[in-house]
Amino acid sequence: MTPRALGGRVLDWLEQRLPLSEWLAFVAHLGVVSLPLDTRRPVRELLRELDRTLVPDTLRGPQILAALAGILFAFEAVTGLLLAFHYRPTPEAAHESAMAIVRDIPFGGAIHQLHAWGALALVAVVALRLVRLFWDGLWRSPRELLWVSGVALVWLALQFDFTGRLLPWDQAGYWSTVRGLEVVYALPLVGPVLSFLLGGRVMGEEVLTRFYVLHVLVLPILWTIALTVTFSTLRRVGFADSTLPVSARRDTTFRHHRYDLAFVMLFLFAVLVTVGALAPFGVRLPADPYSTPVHAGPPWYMGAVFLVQERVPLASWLVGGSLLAIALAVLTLPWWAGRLGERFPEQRLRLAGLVTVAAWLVLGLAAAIVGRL
Amino acid sequence: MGLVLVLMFGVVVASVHAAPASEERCGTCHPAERTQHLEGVHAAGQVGCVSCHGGDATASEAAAAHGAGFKGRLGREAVPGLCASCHADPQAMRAWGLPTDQHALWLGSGHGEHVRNGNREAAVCTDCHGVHDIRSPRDSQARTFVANVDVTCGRCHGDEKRLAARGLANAHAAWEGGAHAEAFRREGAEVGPTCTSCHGVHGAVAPGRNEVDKVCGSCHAAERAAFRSGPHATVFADPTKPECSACHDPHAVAAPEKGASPAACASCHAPMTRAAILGRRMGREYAAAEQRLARAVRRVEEASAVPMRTEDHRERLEEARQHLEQARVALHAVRLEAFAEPMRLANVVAGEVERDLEHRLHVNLVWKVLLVVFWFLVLGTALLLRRMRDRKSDVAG
Amino acid sequence: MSEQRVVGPAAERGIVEVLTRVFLVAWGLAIVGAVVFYLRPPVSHESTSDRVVRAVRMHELRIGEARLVKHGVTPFYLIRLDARRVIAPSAVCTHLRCVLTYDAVKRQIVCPCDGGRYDLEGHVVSGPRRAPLTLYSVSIRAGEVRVRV
Repeated sequence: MTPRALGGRVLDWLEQRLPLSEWLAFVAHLGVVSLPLDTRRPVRELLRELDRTLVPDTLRGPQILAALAGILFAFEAVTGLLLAFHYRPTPEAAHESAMAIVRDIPFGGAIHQLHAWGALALVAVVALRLVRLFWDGLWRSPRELLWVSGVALVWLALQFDFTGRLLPWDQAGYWSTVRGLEVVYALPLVGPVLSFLLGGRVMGEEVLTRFYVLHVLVLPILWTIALTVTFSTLRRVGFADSTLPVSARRDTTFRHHRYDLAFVMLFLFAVLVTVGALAPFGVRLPADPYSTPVHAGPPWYMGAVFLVQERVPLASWLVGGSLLAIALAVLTLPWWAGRLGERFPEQRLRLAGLVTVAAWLVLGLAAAIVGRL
Repeated sequence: MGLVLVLMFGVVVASVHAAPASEERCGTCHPAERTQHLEGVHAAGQVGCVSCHGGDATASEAAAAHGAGFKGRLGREAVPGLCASCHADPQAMRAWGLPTDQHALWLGSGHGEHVRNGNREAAVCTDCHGVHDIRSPRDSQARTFVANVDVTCGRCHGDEKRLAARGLANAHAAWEGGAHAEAFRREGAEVGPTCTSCHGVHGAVAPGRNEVDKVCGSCHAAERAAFRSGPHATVFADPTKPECSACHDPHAVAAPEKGASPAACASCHAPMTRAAILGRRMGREYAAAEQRLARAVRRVEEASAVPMRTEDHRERLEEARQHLEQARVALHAVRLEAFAEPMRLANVVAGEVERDLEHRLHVNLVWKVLLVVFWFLVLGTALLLRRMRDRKSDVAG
Repeated sequence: MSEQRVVGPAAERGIVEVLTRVFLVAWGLAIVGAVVFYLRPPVSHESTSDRVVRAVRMHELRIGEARLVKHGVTPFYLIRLDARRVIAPSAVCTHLRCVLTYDAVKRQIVCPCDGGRYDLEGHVVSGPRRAPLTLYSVSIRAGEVRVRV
């Protein structure tokens, strides 16, 4: 009996005992397929039909960014799970256990490198995706939720980074978090609430434990929700190019799509392995609460916030409030930008977006330079 | 108790014939001297102007002040006697807990001898202690504070003009460029050897030829013991021959050059004699071991940057260092038997560390080379995936 | 689009099938192998000196007294029999790894889990079938009791 036939028989056996078609529909709903499925039919039939059906090729255009966000998240989840097997989240043991993973445990260094580089890639991917959504106007009705969940993904990726940076309890992570917590605390209204949730302004066991729980439990759940909203709203309102004539659409069979997905995963894995091997993240000294390193800086994408917070000669609540207002404006973009109408046509809006992103990058660069001085 | 203190105080005051400094009026015309004096330890000890210069401090006119018993400016040759009039007097010094032997020591020192022989440049008390601003040697601003001693001595012994006039070598400059000065700067003045560590303080004198090994041995005890156990000890028993300083410059105190042809050996032993060959061999072996240890240290640094676990290797390095140190001490015995074993151990341990880490680093490099193989696997898989994707999907259907 | 491509000869297809399986198995083995190596609990490297426990000084231990020494995963009793002899039976029951108690009256070691009893030579006196108790070797140097666990 061939493995394929054996697989078929196992599926048949299970089919009689479990509603496999409904499971498939549920998984499909999470974004794997955006097709209506008749759950009353047997799963093998559904799969066969699915393989032949034309689906939008989400791996050939800018839509790949959303797929990458999902794949990278899966990478991060798997490597993170493995890291959690050896990591001990207490101030006394954290650095030692992180060092043990990186240095002593076989493949620990590789898994750590994959996790670290994957995180960097994830931030880049969700940020690029947000830029793309903005550029193509994919926040206009009925895609408001696509935009909102996109912003949520960026915010969550940054929070993943913020919480994960502290976990190795090394000098750079520790002091970056100390400064980060001060920025959080300075935000009006939400600052104290966030600090309350993060375990206070003062670094210690409390903060480490909460960061750990946020990093491995709360944020992944929120991320899954945001990703589900993204894919579900796509299922409901269709892809951006679903409105195009059939000839201009990039459709593919689902079978083709499956293999392409495997391609993307394979190359992503290979690239992460290569980058991790050739440019490994350094291992740093253990955190010392009584010695601030010279260049204790924020991560690159937060440079702008830090620069504004530290160098702008205004009351910190005012600066924090402005930042908060900007964040809120970005989140609610579909509800106010659509009403600008004639005075602010598409082109101008794009220009404004470009200026914002450029300002962000320039400020970040400036922060990096100021930090070095 | 209080009564005793008062009595002692009285003795001191009586013996220096002085009114309290604050009542003195000399400063009216001599303000700079007065300021200097007030900064010094004598002001606190109520030794005033008249204690040294005589005259009347209470007089308001120069003529009266410079009247009866006025000594004026004192000559250099009068200084030691004047200081000694109090500082060699046990009665006067008891209250201050100060020793009284400095003057006697000075008389026996090189400085004292030269002064007696009519050398007006040799140091008297004021050259090191200052004139009006005499500070306690515990005062970090004092010339005699341990950290400032080398500068104080160097004012004469590092002054090229004076030294040239007498045809002397610049001892201060030699010290400054040597191992002792390095230790002095690194470990601090309390530990690092300065001028007085070898020459003494008031009794400053160049150690006699036969004393050198004892002077050096007071710190370098292990080296001295090794030296005394070797054949050199019998040769240097001759009082005309220097001991340690035959190989080590007395002020620069550098380790003699090791390596192919140690100059230190060649200064006494003709080339190709047994002793010269032995010296060359030991020098070469020691230098080689030092280099090997340095290589092992570099490997450890490389490995811990990877990162790899190097705690055990660091411990082994420490062990190798101890063996090398033993070998270095044993060099002073100039006997191969004493030298060979620690040398061998140092080489073995450092070599083990080096080889083990080289092996591990090599393995680490192999991982990177394996990336190429990994990409072959990736591309192969990609090709297969492509073939399977593009195959007609009739198998499943 | 590529669905319409004509497939090559059957033999080539067979090779591709085999190669695919080989590659899939290679990937699977590599990843599973790496994860297994990674997850294997780290072994603690104990040196010989760590295994010699300097428990108490001889005069601190009364004759007939039993003292539980809480040493890592190998706790043991120190029982002073007379002026010179001290024994060090393991305090871990060989049955279900319960920590044993000492019955000073009967001079026996008792398991609180199943009531099994050992004598001071480690032999099983009563209770369920089990292996005898380990006695660690004891040496007394300069009045100090050292146990090799």
